[in-house]
Amino acid sequence: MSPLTAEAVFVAPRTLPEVYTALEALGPAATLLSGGMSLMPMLNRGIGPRDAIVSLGRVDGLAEVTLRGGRLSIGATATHTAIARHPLVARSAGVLATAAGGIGDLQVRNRGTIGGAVAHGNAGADYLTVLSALEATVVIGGSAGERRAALGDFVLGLRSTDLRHGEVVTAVEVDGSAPDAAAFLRYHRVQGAAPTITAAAVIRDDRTVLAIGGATPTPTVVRVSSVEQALAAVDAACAANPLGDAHNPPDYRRAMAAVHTRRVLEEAAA
Amino acid sequence: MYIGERVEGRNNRLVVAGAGTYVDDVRPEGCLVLAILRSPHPHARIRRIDVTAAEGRDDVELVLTGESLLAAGIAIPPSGSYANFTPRMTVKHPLAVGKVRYVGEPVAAVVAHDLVGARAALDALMVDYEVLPSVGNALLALEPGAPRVEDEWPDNVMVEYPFEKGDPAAVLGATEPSRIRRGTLVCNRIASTPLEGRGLVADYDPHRRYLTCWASTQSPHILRTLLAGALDLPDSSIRVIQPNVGGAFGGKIPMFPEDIVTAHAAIVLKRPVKWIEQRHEYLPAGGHSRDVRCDYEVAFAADGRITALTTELIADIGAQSTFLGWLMAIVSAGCIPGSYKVDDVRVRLRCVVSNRGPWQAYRGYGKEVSAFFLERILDEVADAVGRPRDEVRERNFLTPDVFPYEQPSGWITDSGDYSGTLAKVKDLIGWEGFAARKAAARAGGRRLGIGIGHELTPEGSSRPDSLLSGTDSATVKMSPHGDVTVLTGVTSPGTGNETGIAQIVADCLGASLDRVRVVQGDTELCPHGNGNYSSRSLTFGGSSAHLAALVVHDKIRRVGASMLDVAPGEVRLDGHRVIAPSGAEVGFGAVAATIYRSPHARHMEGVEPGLEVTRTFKMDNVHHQPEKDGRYNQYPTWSFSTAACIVEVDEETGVVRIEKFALVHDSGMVVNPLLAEAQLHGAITQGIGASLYEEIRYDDAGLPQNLTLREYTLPGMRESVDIVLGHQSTPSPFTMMGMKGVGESGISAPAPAIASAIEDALSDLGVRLTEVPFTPARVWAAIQEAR
Amino acid sequence: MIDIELTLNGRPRRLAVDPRESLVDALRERARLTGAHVGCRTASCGACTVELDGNTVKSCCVLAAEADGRAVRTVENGAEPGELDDVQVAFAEAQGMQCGYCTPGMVVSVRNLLDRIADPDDDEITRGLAGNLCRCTGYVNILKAVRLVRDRRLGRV
Ligand SMILES: Cc1cc2nc3c(=O)[nH]c(=O)nc-3n(C[C@H](O)[C@H](O)[C@H](O)COP(=O)(O)OP(=O)(O)OC[C@H]3O[C@@H](n4cnc5c(N)ncnc54)[C@H](O)[C@@H]3O)c2cc1C
Ligand code: FES
Ligand code: FES
Repeated sequence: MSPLTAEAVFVAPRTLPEVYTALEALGPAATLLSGGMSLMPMLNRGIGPRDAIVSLGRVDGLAEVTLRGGRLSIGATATHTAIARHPLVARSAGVLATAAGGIGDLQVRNRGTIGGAVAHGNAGADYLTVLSALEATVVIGGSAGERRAALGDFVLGLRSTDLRHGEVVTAVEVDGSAPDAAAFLRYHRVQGAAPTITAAAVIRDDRTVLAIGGATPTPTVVRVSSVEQALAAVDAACAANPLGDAHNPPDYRRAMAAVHTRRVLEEAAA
Repeated sequence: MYIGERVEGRNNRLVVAGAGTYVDDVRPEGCLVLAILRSPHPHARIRRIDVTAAEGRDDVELVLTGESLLAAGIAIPPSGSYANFTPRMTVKHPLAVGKVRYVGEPVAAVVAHDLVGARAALDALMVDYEVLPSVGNALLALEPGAPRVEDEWPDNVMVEYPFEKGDPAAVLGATEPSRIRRGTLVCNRIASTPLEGRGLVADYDPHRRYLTCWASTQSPHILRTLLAGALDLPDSSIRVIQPNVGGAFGGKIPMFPEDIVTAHAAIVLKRPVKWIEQRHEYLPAGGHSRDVRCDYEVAFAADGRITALTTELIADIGAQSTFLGWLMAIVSAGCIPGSYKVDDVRVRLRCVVSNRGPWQAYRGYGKEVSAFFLERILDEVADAVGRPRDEVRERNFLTPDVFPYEQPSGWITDSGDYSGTLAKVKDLIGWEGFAARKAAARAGGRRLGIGIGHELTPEGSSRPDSLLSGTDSATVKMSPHGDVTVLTGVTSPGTGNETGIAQIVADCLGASLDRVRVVQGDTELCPHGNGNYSSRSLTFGGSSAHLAALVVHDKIRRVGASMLDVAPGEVRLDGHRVIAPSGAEVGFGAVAATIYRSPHARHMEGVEPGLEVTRTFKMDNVHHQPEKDGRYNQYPTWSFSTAACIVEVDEETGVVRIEKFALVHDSGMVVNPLLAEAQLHGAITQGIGASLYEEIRYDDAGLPQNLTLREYTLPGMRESVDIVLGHQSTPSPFTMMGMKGVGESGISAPAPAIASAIEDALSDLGVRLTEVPFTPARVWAAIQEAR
Repeated sequence: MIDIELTLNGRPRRLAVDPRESLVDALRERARLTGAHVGCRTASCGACTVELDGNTVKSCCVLAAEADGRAVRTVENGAEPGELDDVQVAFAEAQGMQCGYCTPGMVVSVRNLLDRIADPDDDEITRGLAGNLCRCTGYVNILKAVRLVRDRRLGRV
């Protein structure tokens, strides 16, 4: 494939270093494309630069799922479908597979990737919630080398992350040993709408981590000591950083955060 | 007999192959792409549009603005007169002149070589706006001193339409307060959202001075006439062709600003130009419906009989545009009190302009609004007198003996048996015995509820002094081989009426169905007709085809009988043959051959030659002769349905799940049950969508909140419901074969039925639902309020 | 413009595309396969559904350039004009469409569903088609059509 005009470019490198080089060469006009399920709808509406696309779609090995040194590593371009079906994910982090299998619809899952979802940082996104409860680490690559960040530090706000230009999410890592118990719930108004609330609870060695997405700009994460304490903490977070839209105003999301806090904790404990 | 048979749709095998030709599949050689720049502001003055950068691009052929269209003499003056109200009108501009009035209003157009280039050219257009204070809804627009949407008007009220019957004020005054209820009901805004957007391809031949347009339209003839007016061309210089249409539901009639701009561009450039609407353009700017608020007062007797009803309707019709949707509000008003006998009624409607998007026709056409209001009021009355909801409806229904019945609006309801559909739907849903189910479910922690909703669906809209009048035409012709072609003025935007028309003609002629072809949607081929709207395609199109077929039938009969040497009265026509009592027969092919080849021979004596007949059908019971207090009858046939449903409500989240939905419709005689049922499935699902999932929202400034289908959420397969249908047939005394329209039936009843069922599920809490759609957040809020 | 090579409905095909162009536009405008339709361009409606390397995708939100070297299957599927497969026949017979705008995408999704699951129940059918919107049918006859082709393949009818 060879670009014939200088006006618009599409590059699909085979290696990450080539991706970094391309991003640097193209500068701020470059748009990084993974599954396109969040990006393409915007580009198609004329939102965002679209003349220089760097695709991750052909980077060798970037979709791999591995279990190494007690960590489950999921490559950035692993699709939601692949994650939902992967035996290693099912074994080590079943809730992640559950979450992946419920995102959007089949066609969206066949294209959308975990790296794209994490980089997009949308409130209520299934992955952000479940990965928060799994206390995931984001692996970030760039020409200056690799760095790691806890998911909670990586996602800064509504659709805003700590990603700098030229950097790429290369993988997401979680504990490779299966939790003692876990549950994931998604509540969405109707097929095709973004989830209103996503909720995940992960219990490991009597430690329960709860994450509630959709009621605050970034997931609310609580180390749970009791249901009442969790409810109070979630409610306080919703009050401090409310989120809402026309169909699901903040007071409603706040109430639903409470309902799903209870439901997901019950389900995980069951 | 083909009428009454479940004949598969004639286009099925074409469209399922992906071989249908929709407007975006029309691609004349060298076709350019037109894209529209739209206003990002609800209300702003246009100071300047800088087109130089866009025009400077290599692949840009043309840039148009409101000023350039004005310079070309293109503007749309107000037209149409209205018998009993006088709307304020304005001159319309296909591209905004001076100021913009809603987000999405067309401001400029670019023509480039392809979509990618056109988008880049849009980015290069610079518009300098002076943002003006805006009014994001009708209530704000009605406030004293509110910013005015139309500078020349004294306020934001476009039309006021009051009417009264009896003396409701006196009755209300004489009723004890416990027998009066007052309240406010709201139908929020929705959008018809056919899966295919709007679009038009225009190709101008400068040598012949002839414009050919392929349009995703419901009404090719009307579009042609309106385009001719807007572009100052003779009607005969324009041909409008309707290719396959990917759904319309009222949303593609009669003409849009973009149609004019695209046709004008093709004329200027002398090259084919295509405009295809994108979904993010459609949602704010393709036209909405509903958005009506009703303040009511109702008085009733101890048995639930309504003694007086007053309704103040405020319709937020958005910004006025070239669209005609605002007339829906008139229909909402005109259908009160609809199926119910109330002798003392007052209705006052105000259509208010705001900086929301304009209205556009949508299935239901206002009748769903009145149905929602009326049914909610009936439920409230039932509750107030402590009588069952079905019984209170029975108590108030118009009875079959009163028809034809003059509504307070002056419109005349042809026939009906409302108790009949109510009784049948109660059987289908399991009305009796539900209380026990509900109690058992409640004991198990589940909240089930049952509800009913009734709708009245006047059809065949025939507006006075309008191209959308009450006639339509058809040509039936038989070829020398005996093959039949029907050309109709009605069209099928995916509704399947071509199949029904073929069935009617085949039966009338005694022809084989597979030898009847129906051709629609081409102004050069088909006789003048109004196209598809208001479920008129079979009542008008089928009837006109029937009239024309009768003439052809008569010729075939006479010539065939002569060929069989018997009297014309003795033969019958069946299976594409003329059959004598003896069993002797002659095929239509031989008869047609005789008519064409031997016009001077014996069998043609006294028979007019030729086998092509055009007839125009006019509804008998429409009258636009305002002898009656300036009133007129716009609707010839009045279909109706009663729906019932069972829902489960999650009281913690407000989520409503429909467990079972049943609807009994009465659309008179049904030509093709397979297709009629398919229409009902679609209408009911749209009705459910608008009850639970769909809502066009604006903020107070008029900024739209739904720009994609992820916010304007249509029901998907996961939301689909197992629909149980029942039929009743009360033939219309006024139409051929007693047909009534079916296309809109089923869209109105779901909202009140679902509301009623939700309230029933929460009956111990005393929840009242006054606003549709019943989104989880609204249901939840209503529960909190009741607690 | 860039050149891409793909296997289109089983045959090798070379197309020159704009780097910004969606696969659906390349299929419709350049390969002249107009069965895939555009209803939203935001991956919501599924009218543009095609198979990419055996998986269904919404081709409005896949760049044409990304299909380079891959296999694309559309509703046309290389069939002769007038030739229908069993999925299509079932849709026609069950009146699983009205305007037909969603139908090609539905057909692609149903083919893919039945390739993955030979005997899907209603719930699996619903999940398999959740990404395909239809505004006309209320899905009632679509469900009937899928049951019909399933049962025919399994010799139940
Ligand atoms: C109809 C529909 C329904 C959906 N429903 C849901 C749902 O229910 N729940 C849910 O969570 N999501 C949903 N989504 C979103 C979906 O999960 C997306 O796949 C996801 O948000 C983005 O992943 P992607 O690979 O498609 O990323 P892209 O769209 O390719 O990219 C998204 C953004 O991230 C950047 N980016 C992508 N990859 C990387 C990377 N590796 N490193 C750095 N930056 C990167 C891009 O530049 C872009 O800004 C839905 C989407 C659609 C269209
Ligand atoms: S056009 Fe691709 S999903 Fe709607
Ligand atoms: S048949 Fe019209 S959208 Fe499905």
